[in-house]
Order: sequence, then C-alpha cells, then structure tokens
Amino acid sequence: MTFESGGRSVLVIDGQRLALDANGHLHDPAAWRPAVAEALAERDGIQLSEDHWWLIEFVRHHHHKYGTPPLMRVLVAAYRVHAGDDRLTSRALYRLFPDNPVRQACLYGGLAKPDWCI
Amino acid sequence: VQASRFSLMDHLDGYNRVMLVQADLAEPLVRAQLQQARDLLATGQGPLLVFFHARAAALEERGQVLAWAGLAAAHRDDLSLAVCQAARSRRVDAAPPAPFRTSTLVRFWAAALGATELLAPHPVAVQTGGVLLRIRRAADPPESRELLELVLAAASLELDVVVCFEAEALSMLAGEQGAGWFQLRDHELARMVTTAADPAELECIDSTALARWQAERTVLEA
Repeated sequence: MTFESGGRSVLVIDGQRLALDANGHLHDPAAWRPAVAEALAERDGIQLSEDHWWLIEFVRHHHHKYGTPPLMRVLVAAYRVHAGDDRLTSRALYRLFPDNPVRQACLYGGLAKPDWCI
Repeated sequence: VQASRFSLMDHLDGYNRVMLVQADLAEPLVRAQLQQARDLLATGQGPLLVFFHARAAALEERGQVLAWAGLAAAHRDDLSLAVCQAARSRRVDAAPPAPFRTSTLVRFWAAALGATELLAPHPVAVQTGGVLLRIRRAADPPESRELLELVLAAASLELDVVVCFEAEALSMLAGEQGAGWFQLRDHELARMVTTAADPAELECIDSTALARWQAERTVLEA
C-alpha cells in the first residue's frame, strides 16, 4: 500500500489506484474494501481493533440505510449495547478515534466527509 | 471588537429573539421578515440573532443583502447575522460577506432556547416543553435534507422534538430521499406524527393533540 500525491492524492493497494478527494476520503465510495480502511488508518497511526471495525461498520450501515452518518448520541447508545456497558460515554468513542469518531469512521469507511454542521 | 462581542453573545446565548430565515431573500416572506427585524430593533426588542438557513444561506439578491447589512450597521450592538455553514457551502463556494458570518444549526438551537421569542417565521414564545416542527408542504432536495438536519441538530442537543407532517408533506418521506427521516423514529431522536387521514407509516394525531403541542412547545413552520 502506498500513497501518491501531486495534484490529486491516490491510494495504491495491490496495484489498484484509488483516487482520494481533497479531504482525503475515497473519491468513489463503491471502491471501498477493508484494505482501504486499514491503509488510511495506518497512515494516521491507528491499528484497527475489533471495536474500531464495529464503529466503522455501524457508521457504514447507518449511512447506507439513512443517507447520513449517525448522530454521536446514536453511536454512543449503540456502543453501549455492543459493549454491554450502560455507563459508556462519548469518551469511549474518542479513545478509538480521537479526532472525531463519526468523521474518522466515515473516512476509513469509504464515505464522504459529512457535509453538515451538526 | 465586534467579532469578539458576537462570539461572547453566542457563548452566553444572549439573544432576546432569534429569527430563522429559510427562503430566498427576494421572496415576499423574507422581505416581511426584514421589516419585522427593523420593527423589533426600532422598538428596542433586541438583541436579535437572524439565522440564514437553506436557500436563504446563498444570500442572493444583492439589494436584500445590502438591506440586511445596513440594518446590522445601524444596530451594531443588537443584531447578529449568522449563516448556516453547511447550507452556504452547498450553494456558494465562498464565505458570506461581512457582517454576515458562518454558524451552525447547533448554535442556532442553543441561541433559540436561550431567547424569549423565536420567529420561524411567526413569532412564538420559546417554551420549555420541547419543539414542534410543522411541515406543511414537501420540500425538494437539498431543502428537504436541510429540514432533517434542523431536527437532527435539535436531537443532538437532546431536545424533545415532535415533527408533524401535514398531508402535502408526506411525499417527502418516500424513496431514498425520505429514508433519512426514519432515523428519527428508529433511534428515538424525535417523534414523527401526521395530521393526514392516510398516515402511511406515521402516528396519526388529531387536532386536539396538535393544539396542545402548539401551546406547550416552541413551534417552527416549514
């Protein structure tokens, strides 16, 4: 896996060149596969764990069903159920993706950067 | 100095009134809202935050933009003009001209809930019993999506929101575009109801329930 840049960033996985947009998200969401998530996360110094994958897949599923990423409160509620711990807060999600759990899950999950201001 | 003061006002939710503007600036409704703002400020009923959302965020119609800017210049301490960042960026690839500044829907709600009156578009007292959004007719994309975002922003603040779809608005819930609304119900973010005789997938309410909510809640109409 390599990244090329110069005009437009490109992610190269197994010889396949995948264009990234100006925000570093996959230009074509249909081109996403798990190796894309691993490559983008690795570039940011994140080794994807089982909980990271749960988060990415939850956000991808929500986006597919509703056309938007989930609200943070939806993510927290679902993560509590997933982890079996009612005391968990958004801090648990920020430990997984410290910049912004929803945005980073979109980034690694092959979705466009959320264009809303919520 | 002015920018710092506005930031402080946002932080403290220090507006007496908040006005939501969603239509094109040239439309009669928005011209009436401009006059309403003039009247409020002339009678000392500020501070007023005017939030430009949906089509209004494009700030088209130069004459109207200048009229709003002129009003802000005349009432420097009592009027703030905020533009929804997402609605703006969908329509125009440039920041809004001063004295307009970008803001967010979450900030809109925070300011509205700290105010005494919301004008959206009709003046209503800000109530503690939650929010009622009455959607009278279907909006096309991207305005339909932006109405949903208005509700999602309220839900992100854990406000108690009811969205009432009137008969002519139910078509917004169909197809791929409409699917997004159902996250409100599926994830208990807001209650979705209708006054239509054929409620489709929604809970049907009668005029008594609607009247009660109108009395108890802060009402927005779209």
